[in-house]
Amino acid sequence: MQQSRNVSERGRQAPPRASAPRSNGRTRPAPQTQRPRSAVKNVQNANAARVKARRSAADPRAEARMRTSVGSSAAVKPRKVPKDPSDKLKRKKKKEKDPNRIRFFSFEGRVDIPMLIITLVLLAIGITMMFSASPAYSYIDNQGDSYGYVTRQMTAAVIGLVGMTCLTLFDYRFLRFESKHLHITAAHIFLVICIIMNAMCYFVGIEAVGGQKRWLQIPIMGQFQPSDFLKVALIIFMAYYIHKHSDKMRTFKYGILKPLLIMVPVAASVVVQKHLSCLLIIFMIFAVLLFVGGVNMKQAVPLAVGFVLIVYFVVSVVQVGYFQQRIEYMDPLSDPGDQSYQNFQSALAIGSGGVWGKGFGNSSQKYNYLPEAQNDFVFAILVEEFGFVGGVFVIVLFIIFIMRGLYVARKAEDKFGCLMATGITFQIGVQALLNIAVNLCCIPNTGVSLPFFSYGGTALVLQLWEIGLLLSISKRARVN
Amino acid sequence: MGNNSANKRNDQGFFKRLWELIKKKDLEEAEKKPIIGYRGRQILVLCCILGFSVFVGYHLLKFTVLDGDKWRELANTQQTGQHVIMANRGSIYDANGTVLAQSSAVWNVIFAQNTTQKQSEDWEKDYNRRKEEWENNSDTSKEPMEPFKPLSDTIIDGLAEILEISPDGMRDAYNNDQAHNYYIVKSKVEKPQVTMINDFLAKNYISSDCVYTEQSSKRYYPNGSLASNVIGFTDYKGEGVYGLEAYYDDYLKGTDGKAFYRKDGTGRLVEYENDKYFSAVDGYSLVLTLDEVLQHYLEKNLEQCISQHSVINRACGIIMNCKTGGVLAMATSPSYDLNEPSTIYSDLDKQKLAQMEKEGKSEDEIAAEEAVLREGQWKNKAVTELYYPGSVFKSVTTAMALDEEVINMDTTFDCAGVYNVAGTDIHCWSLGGHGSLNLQEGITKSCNPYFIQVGLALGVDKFFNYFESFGFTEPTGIDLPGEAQSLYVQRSKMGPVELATSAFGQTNKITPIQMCTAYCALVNGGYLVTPHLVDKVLDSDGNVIETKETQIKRQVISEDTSKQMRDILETIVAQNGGHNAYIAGYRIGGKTGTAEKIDEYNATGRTKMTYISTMAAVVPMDDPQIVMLVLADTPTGPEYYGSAVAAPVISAVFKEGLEHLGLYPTYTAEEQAKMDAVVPWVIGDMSMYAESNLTANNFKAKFVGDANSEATVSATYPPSGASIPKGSTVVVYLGDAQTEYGSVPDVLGMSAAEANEAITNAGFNIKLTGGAAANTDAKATAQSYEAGSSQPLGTVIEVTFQASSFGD
Repeated sequence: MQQSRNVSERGRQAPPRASAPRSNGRTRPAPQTQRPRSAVKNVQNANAARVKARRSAADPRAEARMRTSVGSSAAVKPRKVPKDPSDKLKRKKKKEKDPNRIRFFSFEGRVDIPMLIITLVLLAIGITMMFSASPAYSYIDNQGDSYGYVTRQMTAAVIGLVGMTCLTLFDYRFLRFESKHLHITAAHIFLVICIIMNAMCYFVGIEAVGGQKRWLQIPIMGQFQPSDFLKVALIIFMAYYIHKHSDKMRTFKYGILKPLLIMVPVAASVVVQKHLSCLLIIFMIFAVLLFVGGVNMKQAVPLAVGFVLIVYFVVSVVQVGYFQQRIEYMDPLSDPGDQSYQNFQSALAIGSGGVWGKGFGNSSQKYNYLPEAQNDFVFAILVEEFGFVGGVFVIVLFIIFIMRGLYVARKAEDKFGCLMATGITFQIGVQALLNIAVNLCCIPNTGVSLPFFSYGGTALVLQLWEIGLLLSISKRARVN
Repeated sequence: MGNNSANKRNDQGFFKRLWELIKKKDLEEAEKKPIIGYRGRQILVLCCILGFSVFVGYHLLKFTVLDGDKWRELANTQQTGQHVIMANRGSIYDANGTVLAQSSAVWNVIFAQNTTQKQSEDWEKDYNRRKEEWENNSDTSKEPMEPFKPLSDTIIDGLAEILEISPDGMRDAYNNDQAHNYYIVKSKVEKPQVTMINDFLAKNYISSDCVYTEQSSKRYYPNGSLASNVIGFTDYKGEGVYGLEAYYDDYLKGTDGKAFYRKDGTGRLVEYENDKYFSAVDGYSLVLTLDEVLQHYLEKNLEQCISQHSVINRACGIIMNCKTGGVLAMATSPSYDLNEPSTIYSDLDKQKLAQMEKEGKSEDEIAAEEAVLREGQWKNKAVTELYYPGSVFKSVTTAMALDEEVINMDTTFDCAGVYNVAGTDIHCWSLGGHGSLNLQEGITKSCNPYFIQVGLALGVDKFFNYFESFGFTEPTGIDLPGEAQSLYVQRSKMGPVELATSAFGQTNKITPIQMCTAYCALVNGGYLVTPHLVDKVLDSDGNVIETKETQIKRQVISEDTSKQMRDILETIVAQNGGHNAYIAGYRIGGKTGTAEKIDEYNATGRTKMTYISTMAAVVPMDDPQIVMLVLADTPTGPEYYGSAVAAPVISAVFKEGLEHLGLYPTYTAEEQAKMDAVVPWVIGDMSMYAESNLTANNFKAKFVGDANSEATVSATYPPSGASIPKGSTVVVYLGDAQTEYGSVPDVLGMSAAEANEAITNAGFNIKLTGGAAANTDAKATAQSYEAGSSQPLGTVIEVTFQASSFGD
């Protein structure tokens, strides 16, 4: 079993000649000036590596060699690898003593620059657009302070960026480091804390107009939304879980039953907050991680379909016509005065953008027409100001983000990192696309916010921290 | 795990075995390689995301580009608001530039009850918070806080005080009509009060969302009821609904400007769109031919006529420049105040309503009646109502016959008091008949049979041709709304009886303005002019935009005929020692008429005949300029003849108004002798010097005290400087002689000679007034001092004479 785990976990990672193209770089006189390779080239490399890995999987010697390279700094910091082959051997030997040694901070390796750049670009555009969309609402909500929202968003961004830097340096593997006797990991603790916090919302949460209790008051920090943490905790925990049981993922017990049992308290803590969008996202993350984690589709698909059907019928019985109404009110013109008001205003904003938009700051819909313009409907304001072109630009940015994120996942050092990267990328990417779809009135309004764009301090901080984790993964991955 | 237990025991029971089987299957399944590895699964997830992105992208394209126009249109509709920049309505001036109507900016004060409540709640919260703070550290400030006063109370009390209105309306709107956010506290508020409101709001930190003002405009008529039936008024929207205001509404109203602006979701202005600003074009102003002074004289005398002769169906008068057609004055009496057009002004109407109330009629009935009466008082009788012209029309018949040379000045017809036309007896007003008359006698005595014969001599065709060309069959085209279409017997239906009665004006119903215009044609050389009220149209800067030229429709009669007509008309007034319309120093012509209201007589069962007393007059006869028509509909006093009811109005208006129009009197020697002179200063003189001085001024002296003594004159009565008729006796007091008094005799109903004798005998002086004072038939109708009152001797008693025995 240990054997098969190693195959599945590491087989892909360190093919013996995977470093062959890299040796070209090492021959160059000034390795500091070397730029990270293009994604395309890396993909090519990865393909080649995968072929070799499959071949070598059957070969015990290759496997043995492969194992030696686990956690090797040579894989992460190629430039520092001395030319002297004896020195290289010595380092490998040293690693062999403690192949799974996890340090809390790791300054080795290099972050994935495209990922970092695209994050910063999204953050910059996001805060700028939030700034453009928010003054009117901020003026009303913050006692005449037009910059109230953007100030807080910027604060959150700073906190997020600091955290992101720290997490980049942090060795993500620490999260799956099991304590010696209880086999408890940071992922366990994090998830339990998050579930408790979410459940606390039900008792001590700040009640919103609709009866939802999604916010907790913390004495010094102020308000925050624990469900944002829960998503991250779930990603981490699921990644840990699948990493740990990757060889048993195709069994019913480990692949489906246990994960579902884990989901019960998680989902319950979200349900009591009446936070449907979060529930939706959590289930999507859950499903995607299991899917990528290798769950047996013959079992999972019927279960998933059955689950969806049961939910559909239960909701239909409890609230007759609920889905029909949600679908019906998607059309902006169905009830512009009341039920589809927000969609209608969103359509007006997007529609009046045209091809090139009205120009930065020239949106009219942000002046108290489009509710939540600073929050869930920043994209509509963005399209109004920058038109179709701007909208496509942002969608493309998010797609690049997703692709790069998944690329990092594929290149991750271990299955834990791979799944965590997948989960983080998926969470941010899917939230973005769902939000954009809501803005464009092609799915019912779920209350999903647009990552990096929508106003919300907790969410932004968490998103940046997730990116930090992602960068930490990329640092140890064979990306560069 | 534990995959070795599958075949160990077979007797474990069905479910156990099934469970083992499932477990085994599960493990077997798990051992199989997945069809798609995790990398493939990642790619699948990515593909799903990409597919969804394409779907989203398509929607983006659809909203922004494919359906973009639709959404843009909707967005613009929602985001754009417009201000109307109100154009100022033009003013109306009389011929001398006096303002008759003008607009001024006023404001409507609006109270937004809903917003106020919300803000009040906010304030209360704030107050409570402050109160809590104060209570927490009460040691620092011992002064207790005033109790919270709701914002609505502050506003309502403040506005009620400033606008001097009852706060109940606002309170009611605030408490019971929270659904609306718009309550007009008071409309048409003037600038000073608006300033006070703004100060009040600023002082109390009240937002302009709670109370605000909207500009509007108010039409103001400085002269109130002057020319009200001509000028008309505007409705609440500022559109003219009557009179000139309605007829020239397009000129006066101007074009409102518009400013487009972008507004936010709460309706507040964000910014103006500079490329979409259309400034307002103010309305044009009208300069009328109407003369405010003359109009005032006309209205004053019509009112007097109405009260004197108990005219129950209103009276009207027109003064026209017969050469240009410009209307100098046009009045209907009783009229109304243009600033408050809905109030009933006529005493008769008020009595009628009070009567209805007394009879216990329902409120609806009274309201309906009031509406009818209101409509009635707004009508311009001179233009919108028809009447039988009566004897005034005889001049027109005369002109027709003279122009056609059917008759001449010497043609005589007999009058036997009754004339039979085609088997119908038509009576003359003089029962005994006038005997043989020539043309001048016929028209002076207003003999019906004479004009029946003139009409018959003319024949239907010729009569009707002239009737048409004098403009009786068509509206005159005066620039006033609602001109009535005359009712006349068609050419084809006109038999001899209709022709005969038409000839003296008792068949066809026409408007007063038609009659007046026809008289202009009679005397101005035969030209039918279009009457008009507006002389010039000015733009807001005072530039002349349009000048209304004299419009001559056609020449109706020849210049010669017109000249003959002038002589005839002048003779009518001058003959027989004077007419009620006669004024010394002016050559006045005219014709009176007393039309029988045949239709009403027939409709009411032939019980009581009612009359319209009219007179048309022309001045000066050597070069006619002014034509005036007065019409009193249904006088119910003892006198109803035109000469008694209408002629004094004309006389009075001419006497007061002609000099204003620049027509000064030229007196004949005879008239000069009757004129007034000023009593000279003789106090301090010896009696003989005083007497010679008075004699030199055409006065007689009557001394009180010893005339032969050395005593000097101490006083005279009338005192020096007084203007009294020549030939009067001045009582001169010598030395310390006391003023003597006498009792005023009753001269009413006496002839001029009798009255003169009676007054002179009583020691007073007489002053004859009234156009017919020299007429032997004239009787005194009024005296300036009441009979039996005690007055100083020598007092001039003004006695008005009227020739009441004229038939017409």
